[in-house]
Amino acid sequence: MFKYFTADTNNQEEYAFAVGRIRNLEKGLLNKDILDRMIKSSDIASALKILMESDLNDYSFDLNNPLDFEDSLNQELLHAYDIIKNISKVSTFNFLYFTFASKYDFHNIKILIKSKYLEQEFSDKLVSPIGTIDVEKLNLAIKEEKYEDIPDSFEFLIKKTCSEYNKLKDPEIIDFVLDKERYIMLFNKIKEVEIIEAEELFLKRFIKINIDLNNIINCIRAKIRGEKKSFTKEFLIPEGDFKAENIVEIYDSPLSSWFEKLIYTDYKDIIELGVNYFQKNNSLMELEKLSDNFILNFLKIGKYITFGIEPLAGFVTAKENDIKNIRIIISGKLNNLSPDKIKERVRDTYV
Amino acid sequence: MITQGIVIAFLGSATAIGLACSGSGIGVGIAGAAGIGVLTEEPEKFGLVLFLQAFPGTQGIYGLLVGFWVLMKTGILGGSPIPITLDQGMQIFFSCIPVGIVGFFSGWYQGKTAAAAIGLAARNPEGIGKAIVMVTMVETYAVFSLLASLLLFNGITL
Repeated sequence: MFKYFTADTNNQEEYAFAVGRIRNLEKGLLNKDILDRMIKSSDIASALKILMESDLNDYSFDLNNPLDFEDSLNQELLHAYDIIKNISKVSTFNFLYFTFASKYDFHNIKILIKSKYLEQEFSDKLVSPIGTIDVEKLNLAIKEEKYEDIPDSFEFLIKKTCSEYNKLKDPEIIDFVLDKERYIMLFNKIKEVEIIEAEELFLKRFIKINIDLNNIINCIRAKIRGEKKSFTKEFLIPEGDFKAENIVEIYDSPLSSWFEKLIYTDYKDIIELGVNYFQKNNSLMELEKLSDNFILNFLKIGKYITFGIEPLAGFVTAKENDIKNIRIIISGKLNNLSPDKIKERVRDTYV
Repeated sequence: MITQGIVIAFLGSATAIGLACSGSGIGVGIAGAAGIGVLTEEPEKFGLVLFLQAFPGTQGIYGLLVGFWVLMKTGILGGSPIPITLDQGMQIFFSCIPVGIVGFFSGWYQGKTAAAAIGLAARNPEGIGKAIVMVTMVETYAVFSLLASLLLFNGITL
């Protein structure tokens, strides 16, 4: 009883501090009005200027060279990740940071392995500084097979990815293997973390939603490309709520009827609307947008919780979502898309 | 003369002060942690944060009030305790229980509510009035327990 009581109160103070700080930072997130003004602005420079009007975030762009906007976006995201990394030493927060930041480790590993096998020098612009492992250490491990400076789990997955690639010599295998291994690693890691039941449920649900959406999108892509069922099955990520067997069962039926067979799942609308859009426009843009919105809406629960990791997860996702929206707007303007077309592509907002 | 009754009265006073102050300590700590989180990004909100952090501190004051009153009435504070029977001592002890126990839990939970209010103050300062009402609702029960303790103690014939 006493042990439970002390643990509970200690964590409450950690959470209270973290969430207090996050609530302040949430004011710097973009709302629909700001995005609408950016979409309607005449050019890239005036769209970026709207972002700089507020002193609630750190966006700073060189308006004389608006095309160099990427650096500032990366800095803003890096800043958000630094806050999450340093906000608390409680193991749950560390795991949350790992869940989000490891995505960039896996991205970096994909780039480095592809550059190794395709014999192309990787550009610094393609790798991210956000990951939990320094890019140089990963580069050393992948290029020169010196694994001393990286965790064993990453050594294992680099070796596994390289061996899978060497069997088929298809660069796409690298993406499939690493996407699958990332979620397996997260599920293994969550077992090692001292975590209360409610948080474990939230984190597992969050990871499972990501797995399900990843599986659905990859399956639809594979179906469009005409891949065989056995090939697709091999790279489906296990552990999702939406079992790999369920996808395999419907794989041979027409894409337009998939949603009917998944009517009792949370993803029915995403598949129905996403596939409809694909059949009319030959693009998976709507499917990806609905998938992003689904995750963001799930994390909006963080706006109403004071003692928990949900607000932190919501904030990081919201920040990534903001940055994605800014990129969509700027690239829309670069490609002279109409405001309506840009608006169609923009994701929901957290605030 | 130190009687068994005095010892029990002593325990009552210690319970009222100890539990209520512990609740306040926890509550103020939780609200303070939330406040520091806000001040990390926005130090100019210090006044508002301090105001909200102070709310869970009142339970400790109530406990102290009851505890001191017991010490005064029984003469312990003046150094010459009046002779109290075991029954009277038990009555004093039980009269201290409401403010002690309720003070402990209401201080703790008011701290959590105050932390949530501090979060609201950070994001949407205009809504702070409503948040203060919510925080004050927890206070109501601390006040009831203070009243109960005082009435119970007042009913004891010494």
